[in-house]
Amino acid sequence: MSNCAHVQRQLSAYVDGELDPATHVQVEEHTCTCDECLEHLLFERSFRDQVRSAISDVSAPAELSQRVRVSLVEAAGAEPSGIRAKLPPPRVLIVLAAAASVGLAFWPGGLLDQGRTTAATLAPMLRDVVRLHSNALPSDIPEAEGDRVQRYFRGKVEFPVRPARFERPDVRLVGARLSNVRERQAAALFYDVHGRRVTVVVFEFPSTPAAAFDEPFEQRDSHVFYQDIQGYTVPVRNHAGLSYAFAGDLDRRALLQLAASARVSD
Amino acid sequence: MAWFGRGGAKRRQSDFEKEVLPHLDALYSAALRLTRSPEDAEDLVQDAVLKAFRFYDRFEAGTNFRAWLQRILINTFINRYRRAARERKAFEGPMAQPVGDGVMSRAALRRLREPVSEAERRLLAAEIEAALERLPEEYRLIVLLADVEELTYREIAEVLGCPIGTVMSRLHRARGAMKTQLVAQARSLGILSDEVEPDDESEQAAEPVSLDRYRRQREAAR
Repeated sequence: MSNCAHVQRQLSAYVDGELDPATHVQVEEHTCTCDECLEHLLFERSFRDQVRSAISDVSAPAELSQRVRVSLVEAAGAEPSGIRAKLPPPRVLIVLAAAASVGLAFWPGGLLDQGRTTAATLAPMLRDVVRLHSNALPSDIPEAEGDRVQRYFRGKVEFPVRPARFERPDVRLVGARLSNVRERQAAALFYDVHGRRVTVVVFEFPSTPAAAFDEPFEQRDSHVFYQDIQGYTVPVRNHAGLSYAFAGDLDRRALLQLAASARVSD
Repeated sequence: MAWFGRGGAKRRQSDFEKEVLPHLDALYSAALRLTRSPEDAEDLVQDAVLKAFRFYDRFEAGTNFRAWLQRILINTFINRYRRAARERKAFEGPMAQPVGDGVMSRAALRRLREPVSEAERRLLAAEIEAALERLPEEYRLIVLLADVEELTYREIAEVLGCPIGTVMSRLHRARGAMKTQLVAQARSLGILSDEVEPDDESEQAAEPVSLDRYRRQREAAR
């Protein structure tokens, strides 16, 4: 039947349910009486099923739901519970990497467990960080190079102190000092950033609500958690269960970018 | 972002979160098929969920929430992640072959739609995936949208921003190319014999699948 060629061309759309009602009925009736076209129809249906089942569903990685929840909380601007009214809400600012050449290594970790209450606990600690910076206390060690600093703190604090590094020629580690943040031991690292002072305080606080991502990034946005404390913007990064809080005499954007660009070697 | 008052925003966010979380696996699957990179897939899901959250008040309660999320995911993908979409490479590779109407004999049709064993079914599934991967990006995407995400032609046309006729012809060509490849592979695997009389009933006897032959062929293809 010359009809068959025509019907067979319609079968794809027929199986997709996309034919207009009149044509749909025509094809249906034809395939009831024509073996050859029926054969084609059955194949078309089976092919559709096979394509569908060949592409199987995968499960989302475990941390995706965490990640999604964090971003929803931030988007809603939801307030952490138990926070005193005068404390500004914690925020996450998306900081653009300066250029691909500022090689950023992503800091793994930063799991948000009880993000809302940790922000409240964190604030007093960050006040101490600010105090450490604004008091401009002298360095404990005369010459500061990464290794020396690390060795200095060994035995004095109960965590390894790996200084933050920056791929910028105008950033130098100039000193370090043993200190504390609330009752916790802390290592204060002093940097000279283009002539200005920046203090990075390292202390044990594993669950800072910093949304950190595992993949290395080239030109992507970086999420940096910060709080505004007494006129200072204090970004906080996470690495291996430790928090690195930045306080400095830079404008807010510059400090956030600096914090975003920080790396810690393992 | 509009502020609905702190309590309101929190309630909205936690309601939305409860609704969205069960769909994450499906969204991630779709995102992975579209982007073909686990990192991009996660980013895409996050972006899409955020966008859905922002437009939550536009969702009509009682309609299909997953389908709504899926549309947003696909749109986000189209807008952000597709590179150089309008390639003119439509007629290279598998798309260059004409899709003849008589390409498959009745015996071949019958043989391929009913795999005789689980092993054969899996072989065919693998060939289908391979055939899909070989398609140029535009065609691959259309097959995914039509067959896996199950969008209508109109929805595909809207999402891709092209005429519905283009969707239909691309879909036709893409499926044709996949079928052609499937038949060719089935022949070389011995599932289909090379010379098949159109109505010869004796050819219906199932040929045992030769795994050795399959393995050798795979090795040769590398």
